[in-house]
Amino acid sequence: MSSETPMIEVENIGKRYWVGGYPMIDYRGMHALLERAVRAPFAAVARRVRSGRGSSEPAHIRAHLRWAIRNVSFTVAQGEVLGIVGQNGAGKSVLLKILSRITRPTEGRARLRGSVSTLLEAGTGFHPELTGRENIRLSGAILGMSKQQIEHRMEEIIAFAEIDEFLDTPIKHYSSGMVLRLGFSVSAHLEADIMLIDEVLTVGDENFQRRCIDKMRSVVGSGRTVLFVSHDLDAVKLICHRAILIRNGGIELDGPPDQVVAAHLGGGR
Amino acid sequence: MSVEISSPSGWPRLELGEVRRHFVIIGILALRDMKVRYKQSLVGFGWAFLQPLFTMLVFSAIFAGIVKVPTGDTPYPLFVMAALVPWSYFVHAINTTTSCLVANQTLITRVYFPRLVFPLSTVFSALVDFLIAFALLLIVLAWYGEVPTARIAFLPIFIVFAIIAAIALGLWLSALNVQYRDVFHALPFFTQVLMFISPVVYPAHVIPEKWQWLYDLNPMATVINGFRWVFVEGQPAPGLYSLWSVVVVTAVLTGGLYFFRWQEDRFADVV
Repeated sequence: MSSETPMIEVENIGKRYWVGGYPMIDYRGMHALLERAVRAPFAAVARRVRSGRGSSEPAHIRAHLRWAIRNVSFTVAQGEVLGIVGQNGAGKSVLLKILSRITRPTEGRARLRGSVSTLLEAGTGFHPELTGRENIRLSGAILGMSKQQIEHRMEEIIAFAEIDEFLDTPIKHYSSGMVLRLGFSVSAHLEADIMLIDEVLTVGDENFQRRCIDKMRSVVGSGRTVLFVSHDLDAVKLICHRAILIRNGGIELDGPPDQVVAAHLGGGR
Repeated sequence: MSVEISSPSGWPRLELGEVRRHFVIIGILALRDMKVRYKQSLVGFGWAFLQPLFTMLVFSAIFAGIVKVPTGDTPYPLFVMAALVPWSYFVHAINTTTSCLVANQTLITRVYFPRLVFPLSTVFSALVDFLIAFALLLIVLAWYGEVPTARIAFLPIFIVFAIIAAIALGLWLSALNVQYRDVFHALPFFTQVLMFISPVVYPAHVIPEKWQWLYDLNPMATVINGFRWVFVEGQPAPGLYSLWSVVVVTAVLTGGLYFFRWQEDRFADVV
């Protein structure tokens, strides 16, 4: 591992969600803002009268807010493949969404030194009315590939997905397996420095899954930095240099994949 | 190239440079929408032609034949067509832009690029329909033997103004619609009212003098008056009060940009 500046730096990242009822975030949404504006003069007086409590949020708001992840910090070196494991709901996907800038953290900072590609679901950008070929171009462009890159990789993408005959039919006529294969194929040929991958290997039959893992290893071998969230623990042990275990919104363990996987399996439910 | 991620604080940053870097996506989304729009339809883009045509015919029958709106020497179909072209563009742009974020929710929750790209792509893809309706206008002009004068040089100003007005309003509506879907439901009513306070079916000069200043605050009044001035003989140029509509659009646009950016952080969580 190089001793240069880390490719990914995550510092005390935390994300709070609104649970139940009106979908607002951080209670600083518009609805709540108006409510606060009206209440403000009264609330200020009431607070001074009551004995001061740490949080400035009224109790009924606080009941709705939950921390999905909190105080998550780690670094990833260039070329390192970091596996992220944990139960459903532990906060893995939230972490990935924050790092891919799809949502913003409630607190903390992160820095990514390079181009980023995110695979949260195979087939991002696909439109059912367009053909396979058109969707390759659309999805590739949306995921950040330039026109030249897409044309350059077109043959490989088509070959990997194994849908040659149906290339010019609208994908709404494809079987779900075909759509998934095509989606993964596009994603697998992205060329970013940093790749954030969320469980996209759970597609297709055994044969395809094996090819996916092989493809992942060649991606890994090319020196890219990868964050790999997965429930496929064998894949994690196979592909990752290092892993972290997320439990209850925090990092419980950070170390070699075998250790982390064992801890994940062994840990109480 | 490095990306900094932090929690939202203070005034939202516009970062329009980032939008410019993702310019290509605007075109891609617009192209996608156009390809998809008339799939499996018999007439396809012909609808962009037939719609204003039928509207013109119906309006002419009612407002010229029955109600007898005073348009001077100008034949009513030409009078109303000159207004329908920019008007139907504006309505179409606003309609698609309002729902663009909700319609693209899968993209918003799975990939990152500045969300401003979405309203911009809908406003631009609506231009295709505009061009088709414009062709219809030229046909109507030819029908009445009217030849466009040199005033046509001013046309781009009004077109650009209509586009900017659509973006300005669209930013507010699309962002609001993410959290309050009522916006989408209220829209048909809102555009209906807007049509009657714009000089689409009647000439602007029927508005009493003392209300002209208020009436001209409407950016679409400026655009429609401009279109009529360019294409139709004997129509006056937009008055001085129209300059205030430029102020209105600028204010709505600036406010809209900040509002949109402020709400943008929450789109993926709320949509």
